[in-house]
Amino acid sequence: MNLTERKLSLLESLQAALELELATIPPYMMALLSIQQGQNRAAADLIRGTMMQEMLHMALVGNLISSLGGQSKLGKENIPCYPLRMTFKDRSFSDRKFDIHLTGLSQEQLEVFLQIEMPSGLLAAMQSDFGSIEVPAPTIGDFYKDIEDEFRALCDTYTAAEVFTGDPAKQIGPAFFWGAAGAPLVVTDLETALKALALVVRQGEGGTLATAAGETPYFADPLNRGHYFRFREIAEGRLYRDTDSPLGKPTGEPVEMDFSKCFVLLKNPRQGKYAEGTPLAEMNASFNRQYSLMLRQIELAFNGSPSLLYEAIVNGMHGLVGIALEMLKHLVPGSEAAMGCPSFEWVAPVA
Amino acid sequence: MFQVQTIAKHPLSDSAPELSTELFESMWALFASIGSYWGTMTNASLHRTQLLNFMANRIKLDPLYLEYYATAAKVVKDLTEKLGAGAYQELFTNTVAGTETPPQTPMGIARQRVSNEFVSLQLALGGFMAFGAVNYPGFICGPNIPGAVPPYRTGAVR
Amino acid sequence: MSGVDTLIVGSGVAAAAVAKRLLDYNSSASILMLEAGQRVKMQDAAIWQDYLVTGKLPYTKYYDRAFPERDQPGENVNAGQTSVTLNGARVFTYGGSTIHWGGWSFRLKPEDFKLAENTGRGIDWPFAYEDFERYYGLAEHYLGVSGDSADRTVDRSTPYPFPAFPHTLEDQPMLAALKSLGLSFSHLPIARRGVSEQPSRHAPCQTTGTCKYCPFGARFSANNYIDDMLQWGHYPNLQIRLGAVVQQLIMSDKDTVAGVEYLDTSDGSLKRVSAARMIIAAGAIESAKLLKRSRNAFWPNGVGNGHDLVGRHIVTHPYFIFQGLQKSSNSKKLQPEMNFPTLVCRHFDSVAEQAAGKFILINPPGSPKVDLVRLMQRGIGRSEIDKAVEGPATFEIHGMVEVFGEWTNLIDNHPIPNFMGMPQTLVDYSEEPGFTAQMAKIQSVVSEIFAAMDTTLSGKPSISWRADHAACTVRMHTTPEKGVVNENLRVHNVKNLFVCSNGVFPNLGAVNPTLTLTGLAMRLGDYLS
Repeated sequence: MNLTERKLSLLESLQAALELELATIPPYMMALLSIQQGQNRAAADLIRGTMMQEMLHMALVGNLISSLGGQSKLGKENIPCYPLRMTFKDRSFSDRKFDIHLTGLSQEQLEVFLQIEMPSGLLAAMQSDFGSIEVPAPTIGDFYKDIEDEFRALCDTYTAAEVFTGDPAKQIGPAFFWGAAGAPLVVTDLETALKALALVVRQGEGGTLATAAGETPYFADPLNRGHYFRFREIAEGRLYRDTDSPLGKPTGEPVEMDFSKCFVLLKNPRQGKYAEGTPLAEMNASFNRQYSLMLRQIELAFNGSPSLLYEAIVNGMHGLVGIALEMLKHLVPGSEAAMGCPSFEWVAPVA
Repeated sequence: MFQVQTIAKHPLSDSAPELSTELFESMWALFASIGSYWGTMTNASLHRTQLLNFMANRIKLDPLYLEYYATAAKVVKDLTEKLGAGAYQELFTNTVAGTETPPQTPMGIARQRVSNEFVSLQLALGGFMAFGAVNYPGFICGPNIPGAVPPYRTGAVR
Repeated sequence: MSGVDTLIVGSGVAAAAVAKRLLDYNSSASILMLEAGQRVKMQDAAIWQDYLVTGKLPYTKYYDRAFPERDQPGENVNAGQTSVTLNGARVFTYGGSTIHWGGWSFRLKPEDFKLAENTGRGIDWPFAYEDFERYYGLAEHYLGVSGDSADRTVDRSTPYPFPAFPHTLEDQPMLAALKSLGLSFSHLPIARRGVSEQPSRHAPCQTTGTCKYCPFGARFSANNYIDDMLQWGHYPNLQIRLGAVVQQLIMSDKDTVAGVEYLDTSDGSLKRVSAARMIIAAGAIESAKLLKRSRNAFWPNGVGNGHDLVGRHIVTHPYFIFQGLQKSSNSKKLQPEMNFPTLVCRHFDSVAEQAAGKFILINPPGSPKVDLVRLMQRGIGRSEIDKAVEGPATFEIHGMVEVFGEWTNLIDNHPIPNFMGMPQTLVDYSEEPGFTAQMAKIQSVVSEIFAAMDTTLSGKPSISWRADHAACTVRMHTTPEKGVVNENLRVHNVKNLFVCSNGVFPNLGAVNPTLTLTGLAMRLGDYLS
């Protein structure tokens, strides 16, 4: 393959990464919003932080794409549709297939989150049954490792100027605030590309477990508390102490997680599931309009107009949370306990 | 973010009002011509999604804005039939339409509730730069990062 | 009556800061905040854009009404010779007046704590700058102040949390003039969060220039911080009650407050709540009024008012605006790029000026006046607008001057309920004769500065006595004969009642009071823990 072909292949993987990061956000967001006000605060904070970091990962992947002279795609064909079948191409394990449902927080859903964020090293140490985003590697971490290898290989063969043809001014820079989740970084060469990828992997799954065997306690480094371990803390009802082993259970401060204090949401909603003319149908349509426009703005922001990201957050994201919270207050007609959940479907924006 | 506050909107409005493609494109043309007329924005196309959000927000707070936009679309159409290329200039400069308080005519509505507001928006989105400044009230220029160029003119020699 | 440990009247910056401090020591602390007002939706994109195009703000409906005019009903009474406007001075809402404040965050200077010793006027603070200094540092971190840590206007032991905003191009004419006249100047310390390594849920300032309704919440506003405590803090016994208009204090004994009676505006009923201790943090005016109208057998003239001091000695800052016309032209196209000031001159905020009235000067962000929107909306063409921008500029210099408390200047309850459900305010203030002379001095200073800016002063200034910085109404002193509260903000002769507002200041100095108030709140939190 020549440079163009190799870059195209890498861009395809990065686009898959972008869609992967995006796919985690609606379930995390609805998990967070389903927690009743004032309840399970520590758990809510952990989920919120995780979600903010996934958004940061999207921006980092967007920058990687932009650095290669590519374009991020966040249109109808690229957005997740729930239930989402995630499969991990078999390498040394039996079929890892599992569905991600769009619904509120529950014991079941927490298990799914743990499976999504499972670090590669841990997979080796654990026996699990897994069951569609085609993640072309056993774990997400492994998938990013493959991307990292491809960057290295490209830069071995070609110069930085040949590989990184995008205009850095068009990327999302550190000026964009990410609510204590870290800062975006501009990708201009192999070093910064690897840094961006390392940040995604680190925040996602923590440090490699090989370091767990070292002298310094694994959790002494706050960067090692990856998403997997945050969800573990919620599942086990305790925070990790610095001295805890990542292979064992957390033994620190209790984390309250009372699933009965979470709203049950309509699972994998669709616009069609809300009867026409009802408040839920109208709110869901509004939500999807705003969601689609926000994605359009994020796409434009990643592809050369970074200043649009402010509006995507202030107008888009905040507005979406408002509508979602309203929907949560409405019982779905005909169901016993399910409250309204936005369906995150595409409605082509007029702009 | 994630504050538990109700959506700020008029009780009769939608939380994300819908606009037809036709209406949006008409308002888009109006918005773009502000930049052309005053020479403050040659490529307004970067701001399409922002205009849409703006219009939706206006309608959200006051459902009458949907009527105002429809009125403005008609006024522009009628002016274009009468004046051709001079339609926008007439809309932007007609004294009566610009000053009668409250607006008494469709053109008054189009001027005061629509094109004048688009002027404010257009300046805040970047049109102000044509007049020499780097930042402007309403423009999100960015934070002051230590060691970087500040988000406004300082006159410092670097 | 249901009981709490600490009852706080008010939910503004003082209430938020003292609650935070108490909770830092004990996250399970039982705290109830009673707020007369309601919520205002913050960081809303639609409201923000409405403000952008119409100038309308969602909280002005919670301002005092204007004084009654001949043909217009209004509220409150302006009984003195000087009109001390209340309308626009404060906001009756969840979060209090920081919802609309400018964020100017100055420290008082050492001499401000010794007004009586230095000038023979008024009283001294019961502690010195050095004793209070560390609370200024804590307050600057709490409010998120961006400032110049190398600025030696006052001594400091901790740096600002964020660096100063550099002076703007629009500051340069005044800056150069000050330099040429040998007048000291500095960066105006401002409560706008900046960028730092410290993670935070609060966004840094994006220099959007719509500070009165910041879409990012980067300008400190107490409601955002209390919301953050409620949403993300682990404070199981922190409660806020809105629409709770405290009518009076209930005493169980002369020296013990038992609780309050408040009007629940959701249903018009009168309710009571008891507390082990109380902090009145309702602003200088309402805090004093509440004490004064809490009359009972133990305190016939109002709680804490044994020496007829409550409500007296009120001062505020006269705020002046000077305009001048540039002689040449605005060739650099100076125009408003920011919405908060960055340049301040505290040269006359000095020991030398203390007796006559210290004053500060700032270069306001709206200077020079260029109104592109108005020109375009009037249909003015491009070339004419260019000419208007580059024509002779109208510059402004703003500032504030210290005035001194007089026993006869007071605020009190006026026995008709206002729109919020508490008694209206009577303000009886007459400026002292020396004020005119000091304003003349200020005018000559400004005239010199303008001259050095190649600008001609356009006559007298506008002077506003609006009560934004109302203070000293329940001033602190070690003895009850001279002060309403003691050095720990405890109401004299009452064991468990405290006041935390600008009302406790013995004097105002020449600068905005909020940073000092925040420091006092944190110090009170320490004292109570």
